[in-house]
Amino acid sequence: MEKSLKLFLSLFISIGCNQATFFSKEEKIALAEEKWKTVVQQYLEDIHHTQGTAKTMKLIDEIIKLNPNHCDALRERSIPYLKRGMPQEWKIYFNQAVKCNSARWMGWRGYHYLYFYRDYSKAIADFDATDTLTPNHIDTPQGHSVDFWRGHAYLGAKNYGKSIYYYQKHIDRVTTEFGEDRVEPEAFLNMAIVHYENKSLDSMPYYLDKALYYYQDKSADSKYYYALYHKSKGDTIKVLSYIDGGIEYFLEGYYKRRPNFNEDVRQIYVEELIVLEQKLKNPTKR
Amino acid sequence: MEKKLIGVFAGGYPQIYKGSKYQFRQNLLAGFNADKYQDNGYFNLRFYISNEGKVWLYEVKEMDFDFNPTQFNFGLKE
Repeated sequence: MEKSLKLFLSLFISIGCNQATFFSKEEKIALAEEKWKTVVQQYLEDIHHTQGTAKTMKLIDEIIKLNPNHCDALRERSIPYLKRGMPQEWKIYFNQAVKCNSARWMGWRGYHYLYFYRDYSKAIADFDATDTLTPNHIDTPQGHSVDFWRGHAYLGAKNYGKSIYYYQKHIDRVTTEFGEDRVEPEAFLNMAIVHYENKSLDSMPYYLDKALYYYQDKSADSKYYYALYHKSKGDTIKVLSYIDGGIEYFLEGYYKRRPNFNEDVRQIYVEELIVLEQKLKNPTKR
Repeated sequence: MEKKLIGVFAGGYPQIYKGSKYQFRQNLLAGFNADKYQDNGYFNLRFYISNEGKVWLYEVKEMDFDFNPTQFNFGLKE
């Protein structure tokens, strides 16, 4: 009796686990979509943004089992690994999403390589590829155009000529289509940073003025780079004035940064401004 | 009612911890001479830290730029 009960239970569990096999392909896709809505709803309700809870990951696994071509779920499975610093797992899962829907996720992979791993060559390769996949459309992974991102990536890779080319392309397109006030002020700021690093300092004020205008003067970064510009011209009074403004705005939170996980490309820290100020006030002191 | 997190990871600076990546970089560079080593890749440290500053559950991973496991020069790791 006991033996048959065990057999019955094991059959029951086995049938229970494989209930999905009884659905038709269309039903499985529909069921996967229902579960996906639950995942999205969980994210909307979750104020702590805790992607990767056991509950969500289990749902995502179920979705992929029901519909292996659910590209959004394939991608979503990778993100908790990305955010927890587990790149080996992230890479396997994200590549599956890119294979599933290259036009949608290729640019995103480039964005991840850019910000999470600072792998500029892989990022540029993905941005170029996504541009080729959709020739008459400017892709905007994570809300910014691939040209804007390529400006960042080439700046990181210290290929200043190409960085300027892509920032300018981005600025020109947005200005023509929507107006200059719709360009990210960061594009102007980064143009100035590129010119600073490229030692073409005389081009800096044009872009810094634009950045300060659109940041409504509240930009520690723009003021820091203006200070560096005046330092190169030997105008200590102006340097100190810009540094003062920079520190003030930094402490109020007006500086270029990313909300959560990683540092921005060429992010400044208030310590850098203070060090520069001290060097100028006490030139003999190291 | 649940409170929203103040900030996480890099975005938590300066609200939830003192100092910044700037200090971390300065500390690292103070005892580091890049000319001594040829190795390159990702050195990944993962750990938990409590609100009392207790650190536990370390994980250390050495990877090349394709995230394949690798082994860095002992001196570089130190």
